[in-house]
Amino acid sequence: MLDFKQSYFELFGLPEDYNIDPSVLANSFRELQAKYHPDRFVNSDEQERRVAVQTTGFINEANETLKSSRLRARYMLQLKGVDFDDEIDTTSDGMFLLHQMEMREALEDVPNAKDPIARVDDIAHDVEAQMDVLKESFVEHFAAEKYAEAKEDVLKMKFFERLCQEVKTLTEKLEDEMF
Amino acid sequence: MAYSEKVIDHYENPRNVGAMDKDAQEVGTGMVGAPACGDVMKLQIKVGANGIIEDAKFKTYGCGSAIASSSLLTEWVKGKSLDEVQAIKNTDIAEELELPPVKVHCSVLAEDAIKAAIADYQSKQ
Repeated sequence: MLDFKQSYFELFGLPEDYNIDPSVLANSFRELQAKYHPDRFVNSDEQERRVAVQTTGFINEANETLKSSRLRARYMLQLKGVDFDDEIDTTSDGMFLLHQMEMREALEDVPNAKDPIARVDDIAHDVEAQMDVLKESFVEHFAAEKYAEAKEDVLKMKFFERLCQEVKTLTEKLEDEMF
Repeated sequence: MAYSEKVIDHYENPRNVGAMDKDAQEVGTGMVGAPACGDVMKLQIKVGANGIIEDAKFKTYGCGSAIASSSLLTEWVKGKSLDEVQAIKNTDIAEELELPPVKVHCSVLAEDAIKAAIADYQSKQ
């Protein structure tokens, strides 16, 4: 039976480090998935089948968490005892929010650009570059045990994640209109 | 999840969308973000010489509840004194819009935004 108390890093045999090797995670995930797949327990008793379902849930959750650059960072902080409360955590860094506002206005303006696809591509690269800066900032803060600052980095990542989604939706829409 | 009619009304016909000059002395600007969903909200007030809010504008990039919360709040604050506005709680907004529990944080965001706008205005005086 799988140990539910181990960390997600331990589960996949990864070092507890922000920069993970995605191929190790993917391979390890596939192996565990195969080993504990509920189909293998169809002839087991009810208790064993229930454990198998829980195990699969744990493995999936662990994979989703470590795969995402934001959730992985958040999880590492949680392992250090940092709390996250989605209901009350807010960001009030004025410069950051002003910039977020501008990025969203720029996205809104894309359909009016001369070459909307090229414009949205530029924005996509910009978003990606800024997300990379945040990731580096998180790694530095985390290593220096500046957990409050590291948490701020994680909270900010969500805004870029949201921007990425909006960029993707807009790109698909523009491409649909072209053909 | 079903939105209430009031949320839909504000979402489809948002009141007071726009921007004011954030550098003007009589204008207070509040900006807040919700890391739970990545919503960004900007709320601005223009305060008259008598200390009464003459005008309010907002711009929100977010879900229907966040848009409705900020839209409703701009309606509420017009014609009120800063003290009266300070007394507005997120629960008042959530109640008026009948927000479901998972969307209550949108009203928290609106309350934070107006408080930030007032603080910005006061810092300029």
